[in-house]
Amino acid sequence: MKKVNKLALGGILSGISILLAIWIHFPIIPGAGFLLYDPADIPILIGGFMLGPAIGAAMAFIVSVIMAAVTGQGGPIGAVMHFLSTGTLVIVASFIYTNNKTRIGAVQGLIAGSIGMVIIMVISNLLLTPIYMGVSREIVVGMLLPAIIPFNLLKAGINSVFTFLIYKKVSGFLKNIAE
Amino acid sequence: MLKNITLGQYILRDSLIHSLDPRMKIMITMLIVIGLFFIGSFWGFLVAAAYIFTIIAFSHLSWKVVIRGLKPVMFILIFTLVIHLFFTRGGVVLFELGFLRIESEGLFTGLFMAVRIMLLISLTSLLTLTTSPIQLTDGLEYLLNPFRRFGLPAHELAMMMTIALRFIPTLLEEAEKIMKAQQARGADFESGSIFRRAKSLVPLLVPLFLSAFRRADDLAMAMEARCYRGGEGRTRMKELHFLSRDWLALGFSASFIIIFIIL
Repeated sequence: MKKVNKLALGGILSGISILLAIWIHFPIIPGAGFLLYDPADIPILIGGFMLGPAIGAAMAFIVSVIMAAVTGQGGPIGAVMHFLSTGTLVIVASFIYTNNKTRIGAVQGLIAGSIGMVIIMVISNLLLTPIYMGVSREIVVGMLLPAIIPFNLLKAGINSVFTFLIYKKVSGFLKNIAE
Repeated sequence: MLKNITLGQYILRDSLIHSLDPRMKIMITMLIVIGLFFIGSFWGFLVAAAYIFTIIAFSHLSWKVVIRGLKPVMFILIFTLVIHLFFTRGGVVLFELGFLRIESEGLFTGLFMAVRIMLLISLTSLLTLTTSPIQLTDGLEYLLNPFRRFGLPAHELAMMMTIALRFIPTLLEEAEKIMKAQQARGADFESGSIFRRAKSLVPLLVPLFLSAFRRADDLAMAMEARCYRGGEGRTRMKELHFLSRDWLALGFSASFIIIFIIL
């Protein structure tokens, strides 16, 4: 695929990601209403699978900057966290998939990406949440098991399943158009 | 379902703040955000709040708009306050009922952190209220340009960002059309368990992606037909230049940062 095509596709898929994030979001962990699930990572994962990890990372960056600018939610720290979580998921998943373009490669990539995202979110919550909310690190550690880990695992898991289902259906179409 | 999406916070006004260079606005916002984390007392917050109200006054915006921007973070504000109320210890006991105990240190820290989050959010939303997404993208491209030599593709990032912004309204229309088309075929998006509703997303997303691929292909061809060849040697219709008012704004903001960090 030519560079212009990659830019155009990456840009439009980022647009879908922002649209989905604004349109669909709801809390999935009872009692932690600010941990919102949104399907915004699906188009980014699909973009990463098609265009490689570098464009995937660029899309994660773009979406977190625009989301911060458009909704004002979370402010600067929210944007950084968004980039870290989506970025890890897409870079790991699409890196593994690019090196092994089979169904097994896709599954391995999505699982590894989800695990990577959970690990990065645990680390960044431990580092950034005490600065942001001023709470002690012990309280964040206490929130890990009931909220932060299940939330990120669920979010990454749901989005991975969707990506797997949708990518299978749409990737054939793209191969036709690329020729 | 899709009707009530309002995209972007930008409000067009003819004001000094709106006319500032977006690069300067981004840099000043970053400086103040960092500065906010070094504030040690409520007096510092008072000065920072005064700074924010000065900007609101200069930008001809109503302060209500800025306050409305705080709504989405309401939950995190309350959460921060409650966590500090019940878990931060120290000072005199203000309230005791069974296992619930609120101490003065908890109340103080909780309010302190909540005020800081409020200031942070209103500051960043002021940036996006007075700067259009396209200006922000432009400013970001200039600011990221020095990192080119470390391999950061600043122009490509900005180009993708512009494409994303440009296509959000089109995609929204598209999504609405697909939804209606699937509903006409008997699809049900609004009832059933969460699992069922999630499953109903697939017949919506697949056509949305396919139309996105087609659009991307068309767009790439249109760009090539207009001889797009990346950022090398690109000329611009609107070039960004720092004017004296930008330096003035920087000086003004810097003096505020110094004052509220000292306080």
